[in-house]
Amino acid sequence: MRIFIAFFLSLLALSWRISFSDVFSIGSISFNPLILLLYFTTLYWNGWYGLFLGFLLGLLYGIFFPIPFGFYSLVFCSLSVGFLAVRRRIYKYKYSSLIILFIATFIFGVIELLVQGLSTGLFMLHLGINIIPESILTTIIGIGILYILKKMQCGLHLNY
Amino acid sequence: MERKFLVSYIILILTSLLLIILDCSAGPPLGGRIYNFFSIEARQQLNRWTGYKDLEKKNKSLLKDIAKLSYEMEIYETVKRENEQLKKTLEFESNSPLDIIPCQIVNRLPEAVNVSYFISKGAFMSIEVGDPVIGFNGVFGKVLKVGNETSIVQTLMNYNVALSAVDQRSKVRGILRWHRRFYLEGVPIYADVKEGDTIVTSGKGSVFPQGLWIGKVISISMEESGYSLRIETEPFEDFTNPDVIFVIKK
Repeated sequence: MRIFIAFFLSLLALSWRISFSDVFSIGSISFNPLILLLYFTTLYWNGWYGLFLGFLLGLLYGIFFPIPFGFYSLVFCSLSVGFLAVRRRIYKYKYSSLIILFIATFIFGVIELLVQGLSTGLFMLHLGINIIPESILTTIIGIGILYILKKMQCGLHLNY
Repeated sequence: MERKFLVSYIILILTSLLLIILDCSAGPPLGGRIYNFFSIEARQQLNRWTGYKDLEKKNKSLLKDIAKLSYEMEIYETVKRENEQLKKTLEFESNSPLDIIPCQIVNRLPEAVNVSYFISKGAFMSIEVGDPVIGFNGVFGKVLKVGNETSIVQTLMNYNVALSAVDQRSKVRGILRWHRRFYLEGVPIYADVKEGDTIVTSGKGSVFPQGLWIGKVISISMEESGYSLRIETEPFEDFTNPDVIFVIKK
C-alpha cells in the first residue's frame, strides 16, 4: 500500500513539475515538487522508499528531456543517499535542518542548467532568476510541510 | 548507513550508468522514444480505441434501426399487398356483369385429396348451397355448405365434381372431371377439338351460367375403349393458394 502511495505521489509531483509548474508559479518562480517529495520521503518516511522513489522518479523525469536515459535516476538516487548521509548530523524536526532541502534544490537546479549547455551569461542569469528563487520557495513550502509534520507528531504523542 | 542500503544504492547507480551508456550507444534517445510512444502512439491507440467504441455504439444503434425498419417494411409490404388485393377485387367486382359477392378464403379444409375451403361469408350475405364460385381467372367451384357467417366451397379439384363444359371455338361439349388432372370426357373421336382451345361452362345444368372460363386444352388422346377422346385440360384458376373468390348470386 505504501509503495502505491509513494508511486502515486511521485506521479503527482512529476505531473506538477512537467505540466503545472508554469500555472502554479509566482511570476517566473515556481517550487520543485520532486526534490520536496524526495526529501520528505527519505528523511521522514523511509530511506528505502526515498532511494527507490528517486530511481523511479529519475527514470520518469528523464523521459521528458533529451538527455541520456537514466541520468536523472543517478542524480535523484545520489540526492537521496546524500539526505540519509546527513540525517545523523542534523535534528530533522528543527527548521534549520531545511537548509539541506535548500542546498539539494539548488544543486538539482544547477545540474539542470548544466545539462542544457547554456552560455556562462545565461547560466548565471538563470541561476539568479530561477534557481535561487526556486530553492527559496521550495524551502518555504518545506517549512510549511515540516510544521504540519511536527503538529502530527505532537498529536500522535498526545494520543499515546 | 546500513550496508544493505549502500549495496542497493550502488546497484541503482550502476543500473543508471548502464542505462546512460546503452542510451548513448543506441540511435535516438530512449527517453524520447518512450515519450513519443506515450505522447503520440498511445494517444493514437486511445483515439482508435475510442473511435472503435463509438463505431460499436453506432453499429448497435444502426442494427436496432435496421430491425425496426425491417419490421416496418414488413408491415408496409403486407398493407401494400392487401391494398393491391382489395383494389383488384373491387375492380373485378365493378367490371363483372354478374352479381357477385367477394369472399376471403379463411382456411383450407383438412382433406387429403379433394380441395375445399372455408370462406368468410355465409347465409347473412345471402349465400346459398350450390351457388357457383369463380376466381379472378375462371371457374373455382361451388358452395357446398352454408353457415351464418362462413361457408364451405368445393373446388373443381374434387372427385365428385362433374361440370358440363364446351369448347369455345367448336362448341363441342363434354363433362369436366378431376382425376388428379382435369379431363374433358364424353367427347366423340370425330369431334373438332384442338390443343390450345379454351374450355368454358356450357350453361347446361343448374349451377354455372354459360361462358365462364375454365381452362385450355393441353393434350388430346384416345380413351382406352376407343370410342371417345381423352382431352386433358389445364385450368386457368389456381386452386392451391387463393386469397379472394367470388360467389355468383343466381
